[in-house]
Amino acid sequence: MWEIEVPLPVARFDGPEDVAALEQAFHAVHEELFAFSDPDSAIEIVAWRAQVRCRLRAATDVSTPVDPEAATADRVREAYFSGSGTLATPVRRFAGLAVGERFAGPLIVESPVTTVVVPPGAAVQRLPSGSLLLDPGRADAAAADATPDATPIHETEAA
Amino acid sequence: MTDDPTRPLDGLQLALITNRLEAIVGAMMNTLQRSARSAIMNVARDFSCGVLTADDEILTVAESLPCHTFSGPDIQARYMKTVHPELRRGDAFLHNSPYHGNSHAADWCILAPVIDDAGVHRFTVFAKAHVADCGNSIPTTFYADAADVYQEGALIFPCTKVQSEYEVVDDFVRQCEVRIRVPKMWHGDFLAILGSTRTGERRLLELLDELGPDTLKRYESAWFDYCEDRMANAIGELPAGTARISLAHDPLPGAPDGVPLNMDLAVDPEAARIVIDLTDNLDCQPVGLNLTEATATSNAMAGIFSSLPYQVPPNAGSFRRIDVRLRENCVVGIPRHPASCSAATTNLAETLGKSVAMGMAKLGEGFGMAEIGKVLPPAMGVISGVDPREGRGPFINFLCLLVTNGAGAPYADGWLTVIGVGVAGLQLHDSVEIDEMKYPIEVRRQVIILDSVSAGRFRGALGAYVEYGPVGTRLEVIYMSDGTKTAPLGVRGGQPGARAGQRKRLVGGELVELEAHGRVVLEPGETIISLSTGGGGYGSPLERDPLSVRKDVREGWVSRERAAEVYGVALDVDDEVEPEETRELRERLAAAAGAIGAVAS
Repeated sequence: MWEIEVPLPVARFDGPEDVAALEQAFHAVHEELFAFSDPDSAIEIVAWRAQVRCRLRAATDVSTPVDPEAATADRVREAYFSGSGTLATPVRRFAGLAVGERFAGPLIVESPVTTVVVPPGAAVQRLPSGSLLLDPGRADAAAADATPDATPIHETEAA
Repeated sequence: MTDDPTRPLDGLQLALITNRLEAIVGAMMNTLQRSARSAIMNVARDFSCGVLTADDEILTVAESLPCHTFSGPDIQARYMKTVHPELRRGDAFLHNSPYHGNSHAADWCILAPVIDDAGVHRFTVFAKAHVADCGNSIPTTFYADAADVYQEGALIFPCTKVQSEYEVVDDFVRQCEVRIRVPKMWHGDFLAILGSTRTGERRLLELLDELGPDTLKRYESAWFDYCEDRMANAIGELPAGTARISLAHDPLPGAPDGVPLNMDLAVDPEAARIVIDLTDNLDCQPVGLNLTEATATSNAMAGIFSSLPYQVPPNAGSFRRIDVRLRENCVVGIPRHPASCSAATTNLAETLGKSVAMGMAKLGEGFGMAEIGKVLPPAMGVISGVDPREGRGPFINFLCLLVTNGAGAPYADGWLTVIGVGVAGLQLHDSVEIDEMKYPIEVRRQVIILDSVSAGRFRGALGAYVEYGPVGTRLEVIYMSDGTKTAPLGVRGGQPGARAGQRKRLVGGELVELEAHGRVVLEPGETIISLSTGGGGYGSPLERDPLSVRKDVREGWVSRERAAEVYGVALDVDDEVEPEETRELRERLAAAAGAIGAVAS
């Protein structure tokens, strides 16, 4: 199914009529976007979005759980990389990646929601926040390995 | 924008209005892709949208499938006016009848007349989408061996009113709910197609308000003239002559000798006209492969458009320069009820489209294409069953896993994403993750078959290997694979592609060969294997740039052995080209080929 964003008609749900109003608002936005609505089908709320202004604490102790079982489920798959041809490529589960460890490509990282392909020469590192930091590396992989502080240009939310 | 009716529209006005219309059909496509429920629509994009003039001429089509759009919507809109002479704002009609202008019964086309505030019919919008199920007697939307429409069993709506004053006709919905598999998904898909036409209608009414009907009318005729000119110029650059291409679809039940196809092409650059004559073909056959008037015309035209020296917008203006001749009751022509046209968009339609491009290649060096690969191996089967996860219940979908099929062309290797002439690379491949989430299947392997055939100066796309099976349930797969007997051909000295194949892997790992046309039930742990053909090569492999061969070897597309034996390119230990040895090798291979030619003649 598909997702659309609907502004909340009320700041607080005080009763069934407020829920019904949100439902109606959903169908109205759907009608505006797609020129039809389907009021007989159920609606699922998958995310709430809010703009919040507050002070953040220093987030040094944030961490996402690592599943040691997932780490043992790693496999190897043949994968084709332009410029390198077909390579035996480890497939690792995101949930099993140790935080902070650097994993060099060629590598495939699988999670229930996405697949990250790390070409030869690039590397990834799981951050405590649950993000995956991709270092695209350089044409010369050895040079990239010699400078582990290469500036990351891309951060992928993978959990 | 000024509206002086005495002056023709200038180029700038033409470009601006063209862009506005393209934005409108783009919005229609967006509605369909974002709101449809089945993967064949929201992932593989097997749908098309467009705008017709009030005179039923194709004005603007979205970047979508030629087999849906080049011809068909125009015939359908004419038919709409015949059976519903009084059109009202808020009407919408479902038209999927293969006997009255539609492509095939599984393509659901909804037409909505755009009526302005004065009550005048100004345009017709259409959205045409391949539905996951169309009520066939077996769970597939391509019933290859259906003897007639009764065995096929599709629900056919010859321009049936499904909306009146913007209200959906409940009688129609109830009828479908008892005859179409997975009715909830069907209903969502139906609303998405309908919403797409309403999106187009809404935007066109805004455009009419803004520019007025007179300006838009003048735009139509100026745009058609411009596109006709462009087409005439393009044809002027093609080689003159006539060519007959005879190909055949592999045998299947109902056509044990296969289905031959003759295509007669005549290109007249001087008069800037192309004639394609398809009348010298068999009568309708007792199989589901009969083409429709729409697909016979569209795919012949798709073969032409893929062979033009530059892009020409496909619409009623450019079509004026093309004459596709069909006859009644013909397997590649106008079907006669009750012949089945269940698979009219794929198998023979593909054979037809690529025969035209091959005819162009026959007329002259630097034109046309080799044979595009064959379609509907199990990687593009219709899967169905019951999803045990969270009690989700029955499911059905037309898969679109890896089929490559691009043919070698005069200046480029075959693309890996073409699939076929009729979809022109615009149908997308499924996302494995999404397929596995939506349906209880696992795709075990999906790879290009390296070092397979298709050699040429420009080689065809290599074939693909796909293996998948059910997870925790049984899975029914229905497919109809062409190319197991005959591989796609090369042209101008190019080599053929691979042959198709299909196998079942049993739980113990043992492989069983399957029929080319199959209805297979896989038990948990079993898988089906799909080998697709790739495309043919263009020109002699001995003329391929040695550096391109070297790149193919380095990247693993071609082995060093084949590089030497087929391409005549010798590489040293570092994979660098050995020029001397290569020259000698190529001379020797050319002489040997000449000797074989001499013996043969």
